[in-house]
Amino acid sequence: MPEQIEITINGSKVKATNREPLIDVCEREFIYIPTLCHHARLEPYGVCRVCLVKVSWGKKSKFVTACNYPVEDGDVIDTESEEVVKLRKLSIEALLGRCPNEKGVIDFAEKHGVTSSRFPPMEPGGDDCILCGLCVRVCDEVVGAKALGFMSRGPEREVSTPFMENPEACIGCGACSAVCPTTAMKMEKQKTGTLLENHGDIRPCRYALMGLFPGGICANSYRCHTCDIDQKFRELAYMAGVEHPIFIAKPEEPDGGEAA
Amino acid sequence: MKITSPADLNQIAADFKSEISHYKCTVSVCGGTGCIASGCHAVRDALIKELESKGLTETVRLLVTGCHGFCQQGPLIDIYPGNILYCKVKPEWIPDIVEKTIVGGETIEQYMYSDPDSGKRIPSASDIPFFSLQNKLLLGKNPLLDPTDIRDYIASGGYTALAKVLDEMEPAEIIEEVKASGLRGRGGGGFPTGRKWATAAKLDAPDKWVICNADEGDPGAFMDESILEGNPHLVVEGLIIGAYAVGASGGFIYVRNEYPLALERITKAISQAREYGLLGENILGSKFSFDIAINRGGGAFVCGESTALMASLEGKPGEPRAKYIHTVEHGYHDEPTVLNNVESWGNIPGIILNGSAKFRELGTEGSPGTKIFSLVGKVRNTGLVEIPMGMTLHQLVNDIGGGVPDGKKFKAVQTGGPSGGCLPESMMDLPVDFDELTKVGSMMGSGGIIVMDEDTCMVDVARYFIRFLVSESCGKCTPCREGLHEMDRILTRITKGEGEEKDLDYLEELGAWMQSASLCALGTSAPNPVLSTIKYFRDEYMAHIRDHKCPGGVCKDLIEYHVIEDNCTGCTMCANVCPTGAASGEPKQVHAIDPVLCIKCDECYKACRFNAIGR
Amino acid sequence: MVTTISQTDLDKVDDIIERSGSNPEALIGILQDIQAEWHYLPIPALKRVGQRLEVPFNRIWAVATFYEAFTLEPRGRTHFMVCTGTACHVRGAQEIIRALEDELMVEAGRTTPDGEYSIETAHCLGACAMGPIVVVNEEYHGHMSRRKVLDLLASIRERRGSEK
Repeated sequence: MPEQIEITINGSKVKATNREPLIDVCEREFIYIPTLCHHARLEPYGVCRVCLVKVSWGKKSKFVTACNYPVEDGDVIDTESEEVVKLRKLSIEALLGRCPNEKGVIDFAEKHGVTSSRFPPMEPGGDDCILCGLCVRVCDEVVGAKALGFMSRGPEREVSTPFMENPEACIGCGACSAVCPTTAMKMEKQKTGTLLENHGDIRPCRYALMGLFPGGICANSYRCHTCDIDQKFRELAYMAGVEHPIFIAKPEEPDGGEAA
Repeated sequence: MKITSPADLNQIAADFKSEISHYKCTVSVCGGTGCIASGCHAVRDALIKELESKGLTETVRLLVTGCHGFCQQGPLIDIYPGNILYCKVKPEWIPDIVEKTIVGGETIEQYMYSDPDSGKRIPSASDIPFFSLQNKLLLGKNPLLDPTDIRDYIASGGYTALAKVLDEMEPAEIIEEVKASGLRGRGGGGFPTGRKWATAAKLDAPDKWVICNADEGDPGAFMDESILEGNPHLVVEGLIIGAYAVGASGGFIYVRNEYPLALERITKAISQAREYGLLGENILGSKFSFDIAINRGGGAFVCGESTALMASLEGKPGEPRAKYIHTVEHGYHDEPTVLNNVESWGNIPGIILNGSAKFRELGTEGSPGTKIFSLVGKVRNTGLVEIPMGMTLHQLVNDIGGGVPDGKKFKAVQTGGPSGGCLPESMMDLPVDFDELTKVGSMMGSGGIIVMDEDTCMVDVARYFIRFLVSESCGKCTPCREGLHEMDRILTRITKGEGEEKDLDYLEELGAWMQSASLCALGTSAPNPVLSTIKYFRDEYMAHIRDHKCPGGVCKDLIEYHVIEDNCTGCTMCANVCPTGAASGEPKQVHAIDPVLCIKCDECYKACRFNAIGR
Repeated sequence: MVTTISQTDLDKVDDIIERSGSNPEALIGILQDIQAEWHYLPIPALKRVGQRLEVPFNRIWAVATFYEAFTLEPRGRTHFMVCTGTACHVRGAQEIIRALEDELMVEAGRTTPDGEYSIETAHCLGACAMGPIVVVNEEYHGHMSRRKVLDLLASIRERRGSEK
């Protein structure tokens, strides 16, 4: 039985499990933590720095990211002081400057009190990617295709397919597009088109490749938008409250049963 | 042959000493990377040829060694007995040196070091202040050690600390001794080494690891390089002792890609250690088995950070982990890992052999022992120095370094690499150790000391470090990636004369954000060079912003090369070196520079001996 | 960029992989050996490595593009590596780079179209006391200046000219 501890968040004492991610504690206690690169079904990444909070113990303190900070007994957490909010807003301001024309970023920024940015875009005309890595991580951790990755480093860092080629490994599931907070990821139509060209109806259905049901060969020549299998899984996803079928639990029954 | 007991070690030492006993004289040529760049290979080749042709190969031992430290004066030859030092040696001097000094026993004045103030010639290295003020615990053996022969290391006492450890000491005792010594991480972090080892030793895990960080990314630093080139076995021995103390079964030495010679030497040292049974199964006949693998870096400063280094060891991009976990508990493969710097490992054999009390005799209470520094930039005696902690910046730069050359004025000293800061003249009495420099906004760091004079622009220096970090940042987290890029943009504007006073407040705001919100130490320490130069050299920033002038004469948009007519003697040097014909004039007549043709390459300024070029 | 390499080349790649123990963790060392052989990283070689080591291509690509040591563009027959460490910088390394870029009409990090020359900058080569340092095809030159590097280039060009 993992150790039960007590921490303080914004002045109130709260119970938690030893080394539990702070963000989970906050969610349970209905304490809002803004995030951009976090996703409940993926390993915390800790790069956007928007979920920054302050943790103190004794006279010492430091700023940590709530998404992956393992809480310890006696931690005193502050999520909403002026100091914390200022740091948070600067990170958001920087991302708004990077992607000034992305609705997803503009709306998020506005919601958190950032309406303009002193940072000019690195890319002329503005970038469409905030480098949150959600696409790479969902393709890696959940789908298992590993068709996306990062390339280069520093300001040159970008999301890319291996060798910047149309990736063999991609199954056209569209999970990357579903989790992308901006318009950067738009792969589905293009990819299914390629799969159609290359394999047509002898290739396994992408839902089979995702492990959502065994063995089905694509009966519809990858015309997913008219396919009833695609329809079914999208309904299941809707009912489970997730944005993409990849996140519904894989069923036990071989005939492709219900979501858990 | 496999060494299975201390007696075997003694035998090898004795055999080796007798093997070289027929040599009457040793000529040691410094073969460190610095001297290679100044041409020591030609000197070595000339010596080989001359000694052969004069039939002296049986009586004169020719050694090509690691760094002797006095890089400014390279190529260097040290002749023993007598410790005669010849400086800036040219290959054509060799026949003379062999005939007069080696055979004849006479010293030759014009090849000796010459004191820059008195002009006096000093024959012996130990009488030169550059050397006499140092305490070379780690580097001292370099001139007389063949770094490619393990037997030489053994003959000078090498691996006896390891023998003592395996024969007489329990792991807990070793850790206590290292703790008592007060040794702190020499890579710059300054974490107490003994405490790190103690944590790892207590943990229960199927495997534990020891890693030597030889990434040495700070530009201007080459201490670790010189230890690996000059005495690689010192590090190997330290690693084996550490592995035994914490219970590690395997180790790595992560060597920077840009150090081919260091890589060659350490690779050879490890293969020799294996041959002699000092690595592998049942070391020195004990039950302890341990081996070391060498990994090359791929060219990434960020891999000096422990989690990035471990990612690199696992064959991944060197991206630091955003996790609040100590690598000593969850490091390589998520297992307990002791990561220490080259110089830290190098200190271990001495601490074991001579005891922690002896180690504490040098240095300060909070920072015991010695530290190796690379003293470079605008200083007379550039090179590698090893001094007790606590010596002041003034002593280091002036007494050992000889001060700023060419009659120029001192402006600043940069310490701690891109994570450090620039300190002005007023701070020069501060002692150099782990704590004092940090208190004033810089840090000792790994040991790079870069001296800057009046011809340096502090805004340009700040921008240099930011640009360095822009290209080395992994780019994962928002504050570092976007913040550095933004700082570069603002600093560039200031160097072009387009800055505004509020830019300084903005830089400070960005700096505070990066210091608190970045994912790893590269990001959190990145603002230091900017913040420290704004703090101590604000007037230079203001000169750029308000007056559109660059006092250091560096920022090209703000300077115009011109002849200072009163000083010009018409020597035509500037016209000779000018690539575009902008500088011109008749011999013995005052010259002039045409601003239209001038490309501001700085050649005339460097060439002029009369201070007649202004910027 | 090269899209295929010969069977002999693939065999060489396989050898390099085997020499490292076919260990996926040795990826960086393997890429360095490939680069030492071909003076750049050919994509077909990278794919071979991924297949043999069973390392997903996204990681191969990430590693090949992350580290400074690797280049996807072939280096020139004469390769100038200019050190831009702090000590070299304060002694005028920027002017040396500018001189080479202007003379060779190619940016640092690139190779001339005829494949003869390339310029690269390195973040400290560890010869700090002898700066500015320029390494030309593994030969170290200390105390360099704009003039000296242009003289060096001129003498290389002269030798090339007389070779023809």
